[in-house]
Amino acid sequence: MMNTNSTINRTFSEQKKQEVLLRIDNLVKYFPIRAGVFKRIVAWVKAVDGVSFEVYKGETVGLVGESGCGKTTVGMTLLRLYEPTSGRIIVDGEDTTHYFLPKWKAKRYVEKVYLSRFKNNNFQPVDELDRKYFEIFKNNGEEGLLEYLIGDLEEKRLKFRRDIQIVFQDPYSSLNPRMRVKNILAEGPLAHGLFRKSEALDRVGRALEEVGIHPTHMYRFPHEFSGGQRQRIGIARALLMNPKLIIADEAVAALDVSIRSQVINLMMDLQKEHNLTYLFISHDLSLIKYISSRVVVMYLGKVVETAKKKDLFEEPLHPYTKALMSAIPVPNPEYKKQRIILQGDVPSPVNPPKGCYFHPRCPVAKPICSQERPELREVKPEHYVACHFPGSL
Amino acid sequence: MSEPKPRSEFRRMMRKLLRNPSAILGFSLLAFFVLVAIFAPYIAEPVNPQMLDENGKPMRLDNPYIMPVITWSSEPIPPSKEHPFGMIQGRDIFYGVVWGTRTAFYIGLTVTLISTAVGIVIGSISGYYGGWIDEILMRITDVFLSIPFLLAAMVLTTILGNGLDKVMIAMVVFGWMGAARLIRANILQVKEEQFVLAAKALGIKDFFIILRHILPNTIFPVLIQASMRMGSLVITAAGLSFLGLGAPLGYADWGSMLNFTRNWILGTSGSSMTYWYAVFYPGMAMVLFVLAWNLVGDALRDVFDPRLK
Amino acid sequence: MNALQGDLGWSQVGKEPVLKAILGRFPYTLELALYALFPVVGVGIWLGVKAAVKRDKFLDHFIRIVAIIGWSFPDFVFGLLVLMIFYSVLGWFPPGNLSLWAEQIVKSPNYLKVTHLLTIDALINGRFDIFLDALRHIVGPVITLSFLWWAYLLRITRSSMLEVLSKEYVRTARAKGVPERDVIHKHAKRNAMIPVVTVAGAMVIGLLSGTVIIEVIFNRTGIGQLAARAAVELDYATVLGTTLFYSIILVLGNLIIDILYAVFDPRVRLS
Ligand SMILES: Nc1ncnc2c1ncn2[C@@H]1O[C@H](COP(=O)(O)OP(=O)(O)OP(=O)(O)O)[C@@H](O)[C@H]1O
Ligand code: SF4
Ligand SMILES: [Mg+2]
Repeated sequence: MMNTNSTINRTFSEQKKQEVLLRIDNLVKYFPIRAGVFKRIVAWVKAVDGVSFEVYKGETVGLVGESGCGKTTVGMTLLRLYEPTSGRIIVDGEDTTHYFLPKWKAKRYVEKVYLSRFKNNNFQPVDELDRKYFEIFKNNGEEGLLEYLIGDLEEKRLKFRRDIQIVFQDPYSSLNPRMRVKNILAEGPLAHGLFRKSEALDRVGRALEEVGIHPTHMYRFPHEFSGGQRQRIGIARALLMNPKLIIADEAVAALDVSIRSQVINLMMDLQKEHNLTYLFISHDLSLIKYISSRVVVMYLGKVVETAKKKDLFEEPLHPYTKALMSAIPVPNPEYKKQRIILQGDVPSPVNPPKGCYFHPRCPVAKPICSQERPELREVKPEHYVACHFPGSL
Repeated sequence: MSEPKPRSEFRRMMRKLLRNPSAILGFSLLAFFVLVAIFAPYIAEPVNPQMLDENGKPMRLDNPYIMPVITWSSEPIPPSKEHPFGMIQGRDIFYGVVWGTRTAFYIGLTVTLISTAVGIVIGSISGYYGGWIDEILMRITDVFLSIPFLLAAMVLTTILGNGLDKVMIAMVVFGWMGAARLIRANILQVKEEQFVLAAKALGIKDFFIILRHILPNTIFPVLIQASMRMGSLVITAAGLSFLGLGAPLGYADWGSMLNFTRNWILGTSGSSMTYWYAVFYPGMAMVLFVLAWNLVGDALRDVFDPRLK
Repeated sequence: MNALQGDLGWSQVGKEPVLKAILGRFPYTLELALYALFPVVGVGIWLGVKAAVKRDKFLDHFIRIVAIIGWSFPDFVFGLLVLMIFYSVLGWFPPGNLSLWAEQIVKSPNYLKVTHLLTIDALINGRFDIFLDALRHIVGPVITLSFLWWAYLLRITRSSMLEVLSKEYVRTARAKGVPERDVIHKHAKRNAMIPVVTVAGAMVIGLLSGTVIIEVIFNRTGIGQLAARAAVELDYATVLGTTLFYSIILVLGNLIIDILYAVFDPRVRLS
């Protein structure tokens, strides 16, 4: 079940200069489809099917793809609002995959993914994490590694919850309609003991100020605010936890265009002030182009291309990315761009096509595309593509 | 910014409630019964006129809920000045009707509160955790639902023995399923709401997520349902007393008073409405009490949740 | 367990095996429930549709108030009133199953018992006098039982009808100029019946188990009365047996309703 080999094949750059905050390794999330009288599982929705990417400290990664390609599921799974089917979620150099499992399952996970391999005599570490955990294993034995990984799980969970926060899409359902803003904002930090009750008003007020809402409004209920204001409150809620990473799932998609840029700019300002890292999920390429430093493109539960923003937008190598980009409206009419119209619909994630998932719609597909699934390869420095014929469109 | 909406919303609902004539009737009836229950000792003094203390005054009853036997003739005696509702089995019907109000409130409120609380706990766990916990709890609920309520209560009272407290236990044991199902269905809806997911992402404990985020957004329909159930619960309890399973003989309970009456009606054939008062007064008290709750529940439902059937 | 083999033990109240006691008395209960079903369904649905069509008009309020009052009547209070008026005062509808003379004829060996339902068997035997006598005895309980349940059906019909009337296709039909009478009877009513059918199971069960108190009041020897007597006399075997019997009927009834529902409602079939 657990694939411990990182699926990113590195050829150009072995070591990274930047510090990795989040590494998602071959993440898989299937949802069961049940039917019949006995509610048997008849099929699986392969919402996320082997996704790997990294997020460096201080950057903004844009996760982009058509509706239904699994972006939200990636976000929810890495937050463990869904349990992953398999794969690893590594935060700040520690494997966190087992954090939200019951203790016995967590132990089983560690045994399966690390211990069983470490006990093998000709074990070769495949990544940084392996090296680190193997060191602990050598020095402190099996018990030592288990203690390191699954000791104090509750403490680890809480730390994880502080480190990663989310801003949701729907400003209307993301705030509890029966709680005052003050309580909505103070709930998390109080539960974590980040500040005392007596400080709550002060801290909440300052956070509100920071997102551009008058502190005296903290006694109001969510429905007394506009959509943009609510989204700001949602941002303040995440901010108050002092997170390292904020996942923003279509955080501005539900807002008026005029308000969108205000909220986006606010988020970018906050990023500088608080040294935040963003994983920005959106189906809107122009927004992604504006905000992110690197981009991950998803199609049907898989990553098809990932690169620095500049590289990606200047030279998209995957036919799908290219097709997506051709659909962005260009402000400059001089620049004539050929619009690539994709044929057919996105296939169902229940029965994805054989070979390259994109081949039924790909304008440049060749026979091999329907047979062999292309792996994500580093085609140019820090530019990964999952295509047999990158750049051919 | 406009004025805070929840309060104005609330006021709008209240206004709507007060414009509904059947709601007003319901609330006034209820208020009347509450007053009767509170002032029962003044309306029908709990004394036994047959027994005098050393000062020559009627003795106070040890237990005011046991109707004092005033005359030894068990045949119903028609209404008179001293006994405006008449007498049956040697006991004053007026006294029984007044003190029976307290019994009705006691049974109805206790059973409704406890069974609703049990239902909320079971339904919350079932809905929130889902999976096999949900599966098991819902199958148990189905089993409980597949036994007709009155019969289930009869079974339990035969096992536990007769008595008002046993009847109440039986009604709690077989009365929580409606609340459990309703709250579960509501939770299933609410738990996918983003504010619940946000609370999880904040690391809030399940218990507090249910308490602060889910229940406040799901509880109203359950409370309305509970108020609508009050009526039928009181009927069932009285029905069990009527069958001789609930309140003991001579207890100030509308159901057991009617139990006396039935024998007298069956005993007389084709004569006249000789014993009408023995049915009419306790019967009307019951009907009006149940009606009050039904009207209130119906009005609350109309105002707060038009979807609830 | 013995119960699984149909052995429910000895009934002290019935002075015979529990299963025999139940099966012997069930026809009386069933007959009562069946007779009550017609007025309940007829009146309940008719008034429910009326109330929905005249929503928030006087008629609607009036029907609903009467229904709520009906729903608020404890069965034993209403039953006692019926008994008092129609038996004590008017002498029309006596308690019991049959008059003494009819009972003797029915018990005689050459009286055919085909359905075990008193009225039907009387017709089969060509004894119109017994048929009338049985009818006279069943009217009181039927009035009582149906009075309690039409209110329930009315409520469901009304809200279901209101929901359907607000649906798109009904509004389209209206917009297209379909006469209001046809909108209600051809389009709305048929769809509004779907939820009504789902509660039909609950209702038949309610009618059946509602007979407990009514049989006691009207002194009819059905299983309801058996259960009530057994409960008072702490006869566990009989109480458990009757409850089990009722539960089985309830489960079977609901199963049949579920199946019918799936057959008739295309939405259920699709999903
Ligand atoms: N809880 C769930 N149960 C079953 N299937 C699900 C669930 N959540 C998502 N899916 C399915 O998984 C796939 C990916 O959904 P997801 O919401 O992650 O897409 P998305 O990229 O966020 O799309 P959008 O842009 O519309 O938000 C879809 O086919 C969806 O139907
Ligand atoms: S692998 Fe083939 S089908 Fe897939 S994107 Fe590349 S060229 Fe198109
Ligand atoms: Mg999404």
